[in-house]
Amino acid sequence: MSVVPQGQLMLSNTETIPGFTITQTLGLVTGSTVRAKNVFKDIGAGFKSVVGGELRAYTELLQEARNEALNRMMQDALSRNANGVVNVRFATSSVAGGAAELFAYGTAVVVQ
Amino acid sequence: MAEDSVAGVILAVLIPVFFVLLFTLGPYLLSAAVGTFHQRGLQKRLEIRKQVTLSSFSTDPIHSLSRPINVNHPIQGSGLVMANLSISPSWWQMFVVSIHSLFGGNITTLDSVIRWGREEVIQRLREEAQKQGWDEVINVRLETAMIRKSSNASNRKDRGAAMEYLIYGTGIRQSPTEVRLSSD
Repeated sequence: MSVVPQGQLMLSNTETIPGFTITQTLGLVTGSTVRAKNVFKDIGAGFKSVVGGELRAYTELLQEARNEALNRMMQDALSRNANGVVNVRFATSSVAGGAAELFAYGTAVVVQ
Repeated sequence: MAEDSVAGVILAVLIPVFFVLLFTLGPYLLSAAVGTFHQRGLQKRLEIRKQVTLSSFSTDPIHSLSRPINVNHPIQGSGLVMANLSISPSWWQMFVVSIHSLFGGNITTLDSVIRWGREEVIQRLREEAQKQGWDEVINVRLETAMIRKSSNASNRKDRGAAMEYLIYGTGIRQSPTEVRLSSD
């Protein structure tokens, strides 16, 4: 997994990138990843759910997976020579038992 | 002699009953006692963190409008900010809910943990914004996903349910100098 360097691509979940004007729209860019849970961490989470509250193992797993999906979306945008992605959104769906798909999408744009 | 044997019989019945109750009701009682205590502590710590963060901003920095509140300050930079949190009710709460769902109606048992989760993830976004140095977070969206279902008929052992909160928005950095727009 290669990480897109900061500053190369501007992300925003608003219609425009604040302070810039869009000169060109390059279409929808997407990125997704499917992650399965770790059995050992799941047992830990099972014990934690006796008292309730945060399940840190799941929080970290989903955060990591979502960053990966976002990164794939950014790679897609960079391959189209975009310098920004606007209206970024996220979606989560459970595929099979114990596996979840994390999905990120947005519109690639060139801004000035 | 007769009394001894009666006591023996009573003990022979009581000891297995005690162990059976210990391993069936025990976890639920433990969950009720420790879970309530634990969740109350979480709520209390959250309130303190909220006060600290809010006092460092002049007003609540996050909102769901699509443009900054104060348009007279030029925007110097922006970026995506996000935070997430997975929460789970305690076994005791899930048990009470399963009783509730026989009769229907309002389930107040889950209110505390759900409310805590939502406030906690909002607070995490504030802290993330503060860490990354944003003045304001605009267009905030909150999403909820069920990541683990509670017990169904095929798997009675799985008493846990878990849900995930995702919150994201666009962080804004504004210049401190005010610039009047000519339009007004």
